[in-house]
Amino acid sequence: MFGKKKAEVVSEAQVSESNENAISNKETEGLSQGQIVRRRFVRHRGAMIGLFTLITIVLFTYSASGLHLGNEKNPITIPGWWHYSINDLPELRYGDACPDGSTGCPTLDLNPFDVTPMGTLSGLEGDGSKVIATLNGVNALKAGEQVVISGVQPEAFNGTFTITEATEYDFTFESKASGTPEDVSSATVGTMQFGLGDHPFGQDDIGRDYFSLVMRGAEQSIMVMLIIGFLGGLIGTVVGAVAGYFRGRIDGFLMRVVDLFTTIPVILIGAVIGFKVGNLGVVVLAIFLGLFGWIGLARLVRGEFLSLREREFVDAARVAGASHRRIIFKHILPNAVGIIIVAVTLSMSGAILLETGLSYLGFGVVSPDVSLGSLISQYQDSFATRPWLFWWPGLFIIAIALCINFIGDGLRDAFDPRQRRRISKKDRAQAKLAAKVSA
Amino acid sequence: MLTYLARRVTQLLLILFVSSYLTYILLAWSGDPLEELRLSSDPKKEQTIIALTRQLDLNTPAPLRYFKWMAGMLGIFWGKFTMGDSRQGQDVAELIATAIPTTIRLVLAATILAILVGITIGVVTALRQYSRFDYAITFVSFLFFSLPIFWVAVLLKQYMSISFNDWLTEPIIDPLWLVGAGIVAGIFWSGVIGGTIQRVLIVFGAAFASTFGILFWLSSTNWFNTLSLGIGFVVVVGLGLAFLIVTASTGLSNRPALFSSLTMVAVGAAIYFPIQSVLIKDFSGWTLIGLALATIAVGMLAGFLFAKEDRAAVMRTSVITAVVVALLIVIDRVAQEWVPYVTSDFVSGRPIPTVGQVNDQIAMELLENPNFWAGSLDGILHIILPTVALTIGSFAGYVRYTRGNLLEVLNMDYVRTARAKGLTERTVVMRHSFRNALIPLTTLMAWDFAGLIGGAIITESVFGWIGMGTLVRQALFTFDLNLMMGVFVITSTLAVSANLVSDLLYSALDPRIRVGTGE
Repeated sequence: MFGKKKAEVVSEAQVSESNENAISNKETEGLSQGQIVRRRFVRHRGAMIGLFTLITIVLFTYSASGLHLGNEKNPITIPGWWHYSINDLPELRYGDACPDGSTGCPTLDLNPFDVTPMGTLSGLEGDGSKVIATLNGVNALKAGEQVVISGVQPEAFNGTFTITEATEYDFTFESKASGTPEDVSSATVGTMQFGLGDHPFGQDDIGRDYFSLVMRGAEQSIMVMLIIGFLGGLIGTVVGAVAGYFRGRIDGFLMRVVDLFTTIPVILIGAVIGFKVGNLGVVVLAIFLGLFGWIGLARLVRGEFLSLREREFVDAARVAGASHRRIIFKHILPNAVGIIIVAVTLSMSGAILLETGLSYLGFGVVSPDVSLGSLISQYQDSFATRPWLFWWPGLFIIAIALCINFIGDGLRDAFDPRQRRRISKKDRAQAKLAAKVSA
Repeated sequence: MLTYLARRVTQLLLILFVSSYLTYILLAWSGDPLEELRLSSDPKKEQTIIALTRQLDLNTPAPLRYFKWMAGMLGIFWGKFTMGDSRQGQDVAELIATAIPTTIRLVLAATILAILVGITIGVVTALRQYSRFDYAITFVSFLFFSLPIFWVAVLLKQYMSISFNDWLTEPIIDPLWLVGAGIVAGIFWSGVIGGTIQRVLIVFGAAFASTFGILFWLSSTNWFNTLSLGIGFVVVVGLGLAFLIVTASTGLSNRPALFSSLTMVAVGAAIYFPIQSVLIKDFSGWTLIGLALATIAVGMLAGFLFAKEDRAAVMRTSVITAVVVALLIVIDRVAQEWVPYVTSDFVSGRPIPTVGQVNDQIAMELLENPNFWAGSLDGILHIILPTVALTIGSFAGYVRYTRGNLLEVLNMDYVRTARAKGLTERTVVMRHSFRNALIPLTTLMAWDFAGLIGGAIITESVFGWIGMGTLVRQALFTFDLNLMMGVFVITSTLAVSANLVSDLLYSALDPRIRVGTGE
């Protein structure tokens, strides 16, 4: 791990340092601070992927179930593209359609060549243009769908067919085979359905569509995250700015308040709040949590203000007669905005975990409304038999939190003036070439 | 210094007082403890309500009731200390006294593991900045950061406990898994060691072959059923670790350090059989402490005798090796209990439990004929899953922090100076940079330790441990103020003192920061 790298490192560092400085300087020539930050952020691959994924998730979840605005008397509802809402109770899929006797299994099928079992046959009659197949159980197939039949004697009845008619227990299809099928005891019916199907994420115990439940939960979690991030960011910035700028007694008082809140575990505050206001809906819960979620940021902003207020440009502004408010908001805040954005982003990923954790413990979003945490809490014991009820909400939590973390990392790199981009071999070669040309 | 300490402590006591007052009121506001009773149709509910009102002193308004509670707490000064009674009439102080060791055990194990693994990986990623390994670890730590602990817990229960126990009935590793494990080990170690393509390929091959070979050998000899280690394990692993420790600490070129470390392995092998008669079933913690002190003394002595110059470094290295070898002997001793433990009627071949902190039946049996080692094995097996879950949560923080701090220190002028005056890369990294990069971590450790207690609420509830977290849940659901406040006093005092200790430690480690001269 250590070995003889010393010599290489030193010589390389000496040779490349001036080079790298030249490359970095070249890149930022004639750009404003904002442009540099934006450029660095856009170049951060992880952050861009995270941002893109997050926007996709937000658009996807919010458009799926539509928007519900207004109050109970005058609801304003913009319908979504998904055909179930969390209050619908479609028939629960069970029996042959689901593996191992489970119920409400998912219809999501991403493999176009694989046959999804839909049931077993109890009878097969007729020939030519009208073969009627009777199922053991309820027929979920509709006219126009493709079915795959296998295991029938004689072989000619097996294959892929298009349904011409369908009733509750049987369906009719065209077949070129003639004669009467002999043995259907081991016959199975399946579909080649590729895509979402009726219940892509399955159904819960009573048949509610799990896709719409997960979408609703993700919606709630994203909302909580944004509100906590915004409120916490706002309060934290103001408190930190005031404490750091005015110092003295105000600072002492505000920092003691901060110390006070740090002694109370966040999850305890969250639990009490959730218990008290959880039934008022997720927005109220998020607002209350946001009112307590500014502590860390206030400390950070205070530290930054303490150092920035001693700088020359602040003195200049003060001498020019700027008011306190103007100095804080126009002169110091823009310089501290980097750490604020980064801290808020990272607190948002903490917020989504806090909300899901509280809902998991039963202190957050309460039934009949759902959140990603309450879904996991409700179905964690079903993991062995119906794993999809557990996987999907968890994957959404992880995806959202992961995206936020990557965006935060990208912002941190972009705002950090000491952070230098990795100089690739190509850059180095170009710089050398440029140096040669100019020489 | 003393005045500073006195001022800080007074300040903290004041903050604790105010925050406990606020919490008390907040909790009293959160719900009515009698609400459930009022709605019940129990014919005797009137009496129950009156009795509970008297027991919980509900006629006194909460802002005043707090002072009664506080008086009970302050009773510590005149010997009438009480934290009040819980709703069920149990003494809160007693409830908490039984819950604390559980939670501390849980949190401590996870913190230590997260610190050890996190810092090691963090150092490696900093040294391999912008390599594929660095990117991979960054991704993994972000992923760990984003995992809800209760979700991980369910996965752990399924795959590390249920499936693993199933597999143990016939512990043969599938060839595909063998190859997979080999490839993963190869990629990991070639990422850690890095270097030219040739070197990467050699390392990859070696790691692949050794992982594949060892696992294949263990699988084909049915080792997972017996878990027998023996003196061979102590010698072979001890030698490997001794070389590793010497490489990281002083370098193999420092012969005295190498020889004294190897001597420690030899001593370990020599006392392996005699020490078995000391590590008897009826073993007490005091003997363990005595043995630990003896180990350190032997290590120091060997280092002292071998070293000609730079004595401290040699002694340090040999002490670390001695402790590691002693640990190996202890691990071997615990593993000797594996077969009787797994085949006992109460375990019946499923050693990794999904819930609980001890196997009650085993504990009963141990009461009759005590066996320190079987008890330890039982405890270890029960703590594995929660520890892994908690470690995953805090591991990421340590990796990112260590990496960031070390990179910052490596860019400092004094590191350049150290390199320029011809020190080896190992000395520059381990002595000049790594130690300084660790200083800011003390703050993180304090925060993390306090935060983990909050995290323990979820972990305990998932894994069915009865600790502080369980008490919090119980108290919140039944609006049990005294119980809740009891837990609060402990957690907030711990959080505050952890902060104070980390501040003091910080100033002790970093002479640039002086306490007592204003913040």
